[in-house]
Amino acid sequence: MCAALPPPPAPDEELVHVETSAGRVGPLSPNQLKFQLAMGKLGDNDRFWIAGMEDWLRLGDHKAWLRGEAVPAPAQAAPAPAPTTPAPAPPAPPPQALPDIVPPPDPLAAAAAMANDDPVVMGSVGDFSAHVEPGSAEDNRLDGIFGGLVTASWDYYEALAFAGHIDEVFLGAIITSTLDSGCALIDISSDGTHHYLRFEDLEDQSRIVVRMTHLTPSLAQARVLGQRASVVMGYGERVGNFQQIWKALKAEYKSGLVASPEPGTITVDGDLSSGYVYVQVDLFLSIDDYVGDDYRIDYTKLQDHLAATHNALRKYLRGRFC
Amino acid sequence: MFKLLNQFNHKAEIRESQDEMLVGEIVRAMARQGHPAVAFRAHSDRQAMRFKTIRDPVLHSVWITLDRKTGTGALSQAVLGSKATLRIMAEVKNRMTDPDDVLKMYQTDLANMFKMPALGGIKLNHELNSVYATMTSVIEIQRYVMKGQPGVDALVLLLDASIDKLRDKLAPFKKA
Repeated sequence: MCAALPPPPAPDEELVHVETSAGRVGPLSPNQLKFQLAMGKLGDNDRFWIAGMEDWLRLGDHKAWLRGEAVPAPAQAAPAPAPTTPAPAPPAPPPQALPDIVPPPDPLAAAAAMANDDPVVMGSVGDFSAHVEPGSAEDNRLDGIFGGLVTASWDYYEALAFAGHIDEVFLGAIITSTLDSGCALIDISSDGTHHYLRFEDLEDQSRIVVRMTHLTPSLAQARVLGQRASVVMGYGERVGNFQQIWKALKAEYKSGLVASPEPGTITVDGDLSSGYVYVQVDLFLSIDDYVGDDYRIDYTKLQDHLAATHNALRKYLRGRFC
Repeated sequence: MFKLLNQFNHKAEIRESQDEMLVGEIVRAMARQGHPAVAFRAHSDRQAMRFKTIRDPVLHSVWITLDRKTGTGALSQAVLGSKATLRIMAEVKNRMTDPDDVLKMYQTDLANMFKMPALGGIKLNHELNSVYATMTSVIEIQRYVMKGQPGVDALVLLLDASIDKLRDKLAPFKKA
């Protein structure tokens, strides 16, 4: 068991001994210790000792005290496991009470203060161009940090890519779902942002049309608004005679008067050469509802929504033109 | 007369759409293998799709390009069939690349200058973090579309066999 923690040494007094898994470090001054903590070179499980302490203590339990940010720790500090090697006998601290370390208010000021007051600290501890023995514990630790930076960069890169192509994942899901319902894809065009699909049920010759534009292709937009797409869903059938097509063409002309369709607006399109009449509706879909971050697709929900839309459009078309 | 004209147009439309039908079946077949489509570039007779091979231990993505050459007209389809080139390009992506890799890239690119991928060979191409292997074959579209389940099965077999070959070729380039 250790006794009460002694007052922390002065900022430039190299009195703190630290034992890490890679070996012993120090003695360090509180300034040097601060720098190594800030750089992540010392971990919570590393232990420290200064003159006046009976035993080694975990850094993680007393970081604030070591940084001089708090009054000395309570009288009975938590016990720590015995060190593998006994602590050296560093010189005893001066008998007079030392003032607490008062950290500057921000890290930049701290760095500037260290550079001005104690250039040796910057040169010896913060010199990241110093040679590190290949294969040493320090080398492995730095490799780990570098690997983490590369991995984090790839994660960001993948997130950017995902935000840009989630609409195409959704498009693929629409193709798969519609083919599963018995249709064949008969037309596709895409430039990466604007997509057009046309399907035909080869038995009854009814057609499904999907026109989609990705509205939130950037990661920032997607994070704020969610993944949104403007989708025009259409349903078409071959109608029996010229009169019905003519009626559809008149409706198509009226549809042309709708300058900017709003959600739920139904428009009509007639194709004289093939004899098809299409009715279509404008929707805004949230792609996140169907495609997960891990590319999993909720086919049940997608098929349900497609079926509901086609059913409504089919009823409208048959009620109006057939 | 109007009905007859429509019927004729419809038949022509379906004949011209056989490459799109094959594209749809490719997208569905790849989705069933767990490879969602992540890119489409499609216009008239040429369609390219990229698939993300999410759980594949070697591959990062696969590009499939279908380029229809014959069979859009009734006469050419009767005489020549519906021929298309199917180009499958698999990609391995490594998170780190160093100068030794760049040197290897030049060597492989030089060796590949004399390969003819149209004859079924596999061509490699390095681009920093990615290594690509490409295989091109000439296929008969009608073998795979409007044939029901046997057509779908034949397509899945073709895609699986091609991607397996490309994966084997690329495996040595995948870093841990």
